[in-house]
Amino acid sequence: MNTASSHPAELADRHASLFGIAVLLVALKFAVSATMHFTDAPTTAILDKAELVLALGGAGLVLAVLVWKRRALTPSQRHAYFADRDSFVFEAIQRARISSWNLTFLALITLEIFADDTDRVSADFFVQVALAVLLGVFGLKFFVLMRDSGDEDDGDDDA
Amino acid sequence: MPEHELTNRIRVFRAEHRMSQTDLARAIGVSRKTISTIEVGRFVPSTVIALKIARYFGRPVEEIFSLTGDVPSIATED
Repeated sequence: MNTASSHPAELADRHASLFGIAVLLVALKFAVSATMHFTDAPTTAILDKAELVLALGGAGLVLAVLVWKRRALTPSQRHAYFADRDSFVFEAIQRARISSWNLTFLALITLEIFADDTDRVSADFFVQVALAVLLGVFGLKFFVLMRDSGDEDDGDDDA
Repeated sequence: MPEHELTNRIRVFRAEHRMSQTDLARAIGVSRKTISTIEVGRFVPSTVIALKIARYFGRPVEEIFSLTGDVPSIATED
């Protein structure tokens, strides 16, 4: 019998939360990459290492989550709970996607305006900023929603 | 404040049955966070979840969930 924390629905929630952390790490990686366009050589060397750590952290977490998902759930449980969109966590993901899309659109419009005025920065920079905003807003919004959802249960329950 | 708000009495029914949010969540196959956010009105459940909760407690769904504010009804229009 599953314990409360190993119930498939709880595992699916935790999987989504870890995925959110991985997205934030990748967003930070792109933010660092974009910053490196404006830093001097010594700072760039430090940021280069930070970028590598963030990239490895994000990729490692995604890999760990995928392996964990395969081990923790049977194929039918995976199908039932990861295809199921009837949960607060899925709604949080949807809301985060909407915020991410809106702010990325604004960021792209802003970048497009500045791109006309500068030849100093490569196209890489604009792509990195767009990706950092896209993933960063998604990750932050998701975590704000999850944090605000509270975890005040079962203190008053004596069942 | 929105014109219509979904309120619910899940906490009351849970207390009557001496159940935790985790117990109810497992009984209807959702996560505890889903139940806790429904209870505090942060997450509006799907019709399927609302019906599952009502069926679990053996009560009509209107007894557990209700909508604030006036909504036109075809029954009162004639």
